[in-house]
Amino acid sequence: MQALGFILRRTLLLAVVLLVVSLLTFGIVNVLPGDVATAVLGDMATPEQAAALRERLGLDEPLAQRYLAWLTALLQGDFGTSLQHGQPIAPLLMGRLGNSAILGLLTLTIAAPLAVALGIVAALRPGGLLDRLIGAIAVGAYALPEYVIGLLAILAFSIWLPVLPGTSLMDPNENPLARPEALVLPVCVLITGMLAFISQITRASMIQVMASPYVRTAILKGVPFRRVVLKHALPNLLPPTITEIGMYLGYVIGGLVVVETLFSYAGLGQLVTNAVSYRDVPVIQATVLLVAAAYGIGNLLADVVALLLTPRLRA
Amino acid sequence: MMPPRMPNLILSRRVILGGAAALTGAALLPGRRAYAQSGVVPRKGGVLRFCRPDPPDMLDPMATNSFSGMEFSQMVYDNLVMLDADAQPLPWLATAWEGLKDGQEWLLTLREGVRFHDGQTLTSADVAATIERSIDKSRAGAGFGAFGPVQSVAAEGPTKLRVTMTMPFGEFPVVLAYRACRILPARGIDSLRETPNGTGPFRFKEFQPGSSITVEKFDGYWNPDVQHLDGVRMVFIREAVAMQAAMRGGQVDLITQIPLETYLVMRRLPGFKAHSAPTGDYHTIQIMGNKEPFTNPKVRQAFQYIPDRKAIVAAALFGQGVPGNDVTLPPGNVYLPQLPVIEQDLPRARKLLDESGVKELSIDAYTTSDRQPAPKMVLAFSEAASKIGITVRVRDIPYTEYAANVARKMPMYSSYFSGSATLYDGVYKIHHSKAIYNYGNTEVAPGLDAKLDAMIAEVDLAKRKQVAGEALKLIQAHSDRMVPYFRNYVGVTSEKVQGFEPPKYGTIETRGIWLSA
Repeated sequence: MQALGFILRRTLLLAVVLLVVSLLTFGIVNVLPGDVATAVLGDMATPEQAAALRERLGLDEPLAQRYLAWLTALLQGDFGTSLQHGQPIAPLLMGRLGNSAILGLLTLTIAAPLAVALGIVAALRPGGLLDRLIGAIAVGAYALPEYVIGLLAILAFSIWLPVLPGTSLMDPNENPLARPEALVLPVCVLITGMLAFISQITRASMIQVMASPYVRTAILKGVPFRRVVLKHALPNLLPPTITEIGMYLGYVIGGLVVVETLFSYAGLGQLVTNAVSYRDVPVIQATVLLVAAAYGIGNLLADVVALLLTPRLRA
Repeated sequence: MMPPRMPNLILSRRVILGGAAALTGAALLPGRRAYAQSGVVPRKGGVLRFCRPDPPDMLDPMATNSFSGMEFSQMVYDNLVMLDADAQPLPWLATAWEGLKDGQEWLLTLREGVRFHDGQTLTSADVAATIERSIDKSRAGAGFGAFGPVQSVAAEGPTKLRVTMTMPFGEFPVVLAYRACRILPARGIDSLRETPNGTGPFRFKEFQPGSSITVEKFDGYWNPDVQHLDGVRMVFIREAVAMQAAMRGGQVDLITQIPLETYLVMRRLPGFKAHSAPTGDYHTIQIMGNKEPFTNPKVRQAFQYIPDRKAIVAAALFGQGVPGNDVTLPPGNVYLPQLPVIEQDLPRARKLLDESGVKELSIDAYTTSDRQPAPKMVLAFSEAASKIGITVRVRDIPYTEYAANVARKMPMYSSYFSGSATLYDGVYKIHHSKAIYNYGNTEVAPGLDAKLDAMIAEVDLAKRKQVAGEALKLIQAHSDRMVPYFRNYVGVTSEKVQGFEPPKYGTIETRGIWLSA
């Protein structure tokens, strides 16, 4: 019951957060210099041409009126129409949402257990060779932006050693899993950043857990070391780590924007990059809202899992 | 070194009274004749995978302002004429044209039996609707005024129409080949952004915004001799390294609008054809004649002597271009008179500046990295200016901000223009004080507007050249835009792409391209 109440409270909070996000996004995009009229017509257009296009697109309406109209339509399940392309936004989002989800979930599925395992291995002998090696690689990977890692990956595996495609060239209605080779580099780039961060968080937590009195007691009682780690330390390590992974979702989503654009992968990131270039406010609004919802739901799920893994919190 | 030769526009009798005599040329596009002469039979079939860095702003052929949008419209729509290698009009959807009243009126005859992709037959009503849209500011978008100074248009039967100009306009048949002059269907003319429908060799199949555009062969195309491909898939890769990887990995057949660095790498690789060819495309440094300190002609003149144009071509274009001379026509153009060559002369620039009364000068120069290599050009200018005590701060800002807050508003910024086959687009619309691309709406030299009006109205070639020459001399001496270079087109195709020709006027022509086995 307590868990259900927790979920309900968090869901309500998420709805409020999404409303605030939509308001902020709308405000920020409209404060930025330029709009879809200047972006589409370019620098050669006269002010009269830009004004005519604004009128055609309804951009001459007051901001508050436009926001309310958008919100009303959204509450009725209508994401609106792209200002740039004149197409309904919902179909634009659907295929891309699936593609981004595949990329993100693959990253999480591979990176999360791997990062936790690396963190544990590093923590078992703090200061040892393996720990220092993992630490050095993690710091290096974390210091490099995904964009740079992606470029290096394309150079290394698509140009110097041409074994993998350096670009996905995928359409939103294509199933990315049908072309696994096109997923390898984007997923590896996303994994690299995540491994670095989560492994170091796990390492720090594990060192703390291994130094706790109940673990020391178990060791002194002669419980086999492997059993100490797996049965006693790991259950206490997992809840905070899962919460961290949930928090890290935002980083993965941010990485998707960069990686999808770099690898021409038809996901939400690619869509929003293009929409921002052209100040296509309804598309930006819809995409940001979806991403915020995904982040909120991911966080909620992580908290629920952490709750279920912690008897003290469940009680 | 000889300057590259640009196509010469000669307003011959064929231009004024054209079409019928050149009918035989309609089956073959300029430059594709070489294949016919060599006896090579183009292979039919295959899908061309065509890669560009930027997705189109929109699919409306008249309103689009992006090269990708214009390349899409070139595949799906037709123009009334095509241009041959000398920029002479060839019959296309129009089979004949006749200039009346010294070019004040034009009578066009349309090809019969041409169908739109939705099955409707092309008639003069479609052409009239297209031209009418182009003169309606609220509906034309970027294509406003594309057909020239049109006053009115009237259909005279299903295949004939009369176009009346506001002034004699000898270049009308050449202007008809312009990118924004695709012929649109009267029905649905304002909804082509959502439902493209042309008479071109390819029909629209699918658009995935930001990802790709797919077009497929239109079986009812009136000129199957230039239609070899089963379709074209245009894909968009923003990052140059990824674009290069796609080309080298065989994922695409053609990459265009590539950075010069990519061209330099790819031209050394076997299995690819790297193309670098002169165009009339150029970057400018706008020194706005309606804003301080450039309202002072001496300051504008001083600035002309600051950049080292040869060095900029070498450093910013890696040699893939030619120095400009502050006129908007490239070297070799038939209309260019003998003009003094403007070279870097810093003492003279300083002297002119002193004469202008401006002792200290510190100014922001805006540019955008989205229009490469303009920032390098502006940076080179800034460094040279600093040697004579002028401070030019380079402001590199995103294109959207640039389009909104810089163009037409700031005193000094870089801009980009693509080459044009006509004096109307290449000179008149840029320099006449009431023309659309004269950003400051300034007549930079007394009498220039009158000379430009006379240039456009003049139908006789010799007289026209003379008037154009006089106007260009005035422009060079007083212009509020510097043209430091003309840049080459650069692109790469795979070896199996045949019949590709580097575009002279910005967009790639897929008619006539075929894929070898």
